[in-house]
Amino acid sequence: MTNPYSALGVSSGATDEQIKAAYRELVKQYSDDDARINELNDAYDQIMAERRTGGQSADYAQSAQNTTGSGYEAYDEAAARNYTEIRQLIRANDILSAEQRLLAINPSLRGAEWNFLMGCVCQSKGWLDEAYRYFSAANSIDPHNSEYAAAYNRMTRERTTGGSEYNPYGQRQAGGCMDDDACANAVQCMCLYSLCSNCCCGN
Amino acid sequence: MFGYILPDKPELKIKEFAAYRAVYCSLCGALRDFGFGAKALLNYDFVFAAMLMMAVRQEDAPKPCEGRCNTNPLEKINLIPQNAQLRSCAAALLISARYKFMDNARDEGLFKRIAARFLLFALRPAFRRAACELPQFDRTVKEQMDAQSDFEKSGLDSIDRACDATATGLASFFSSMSVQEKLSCALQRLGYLIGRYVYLADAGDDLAEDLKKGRYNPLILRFGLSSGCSQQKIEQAKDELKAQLYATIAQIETCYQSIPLTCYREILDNIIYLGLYKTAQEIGTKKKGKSRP
Repeated sequence: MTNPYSALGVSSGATDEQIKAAYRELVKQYSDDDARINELNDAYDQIMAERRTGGQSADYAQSAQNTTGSGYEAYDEAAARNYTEIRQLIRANDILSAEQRLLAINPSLRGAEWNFLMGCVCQSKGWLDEAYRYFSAANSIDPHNSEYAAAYNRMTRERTTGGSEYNPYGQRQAGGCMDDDACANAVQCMCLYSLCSNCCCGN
Repeated sequence: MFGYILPDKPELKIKEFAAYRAVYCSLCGALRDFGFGAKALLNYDFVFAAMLMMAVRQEDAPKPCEGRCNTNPLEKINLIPQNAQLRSCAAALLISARYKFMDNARDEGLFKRIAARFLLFALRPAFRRAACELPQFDRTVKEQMDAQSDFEKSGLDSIDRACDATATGLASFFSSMSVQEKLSCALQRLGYLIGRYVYLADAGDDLAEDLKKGRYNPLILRFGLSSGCSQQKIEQAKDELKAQLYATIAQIETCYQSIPLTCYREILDNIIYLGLYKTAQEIGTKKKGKSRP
């Protein structure tokens, strides 16, 4: 793990504004280089995520060692199957049943996946405060899971930018869609984009 | 808690502003049909609702026509012909205003209580007609108001639950905008999120006063504020509120993009992508009752 601050060329004591400015400047500079852009996005997300949760700029070499294995979760098969079914319920937009099933799970067995799915349920309900807390819990229990990290980073970014800066007015596809199929797809998964972060919705 | 869903006027074209203005004036006309004095309650939030509803329901943009201002008959203005969508939005506006006054009549200081009672009495015929127009919405808002007052007594610190009543109320109105199931579902979510946004924005604007007077405010509970706490803590709470508003806007945008629109797209885009963001940035910096456009 490299230090995200050095990736953006700022010191760890820089303010959020300075980091944002440095990030934007670099994105402009490397707009053709996808790999580099991904690197920058990851670094930016990581810094913002840390600052949101009140984490300090850790010693990265050391933290990389320590986290090995810390995201390990004991799964038995029944629990895994249960979670798969809950995911299906969320995809089918049956949020109430999904929530009931999740709440029925014994609190001592609630791990990263439970928190992540609870976050999805809350997000679908429009309960964004709790959704963020669940995503953040999922991400800190299991920091190596890319699904949890994607949901958490996405929401962190939305909370800092309001969505507007990444889709500047005039450059983005103007709202509303005239295509019925696209509309149906979007409606189906607009609440669920954390579950299917690579599917039709988003951009 | 009205007047948060506004366009960013400098970014509107002149013809777009004229179209916005025409809907605003026509909604005023629709309010007048409900009874004497109802037009005094006119607000921008329901101009947005009316435009969205027409964009979802109508084939083409309503043709503007000339007319005279309700308040000042000497002034010639642009209007659009009265239609079912304007009438529903006027009714929904009156119903929301009525329950807001009922809430004020219970919780506010003496002067505001008397004012709210007076308005409830003076506008009774208009409120009654509005409830007949949208009985379902009237019932939902009433239920949600009761749920809200129970919640406020419970002392729980959940922001999401605090927003839920207002959001569910608006969601029920938005979902009635379309009869198609999928579209209605998307509109319901949009209404929920916009209700959440309005409630949060209002809580942010009221924060300083609520702290001083020791009144209920969801942010006070959520961030453990008190009238004696440091300015720094209050600023932190405000930053967190802004993050919550931004997260809500992001969800509103995603949801809005899934709704097919036939007209007024530029203006609705402006409100969703620019207006909401601008309002969120202004929270707590201005006096309440702002009037941007």
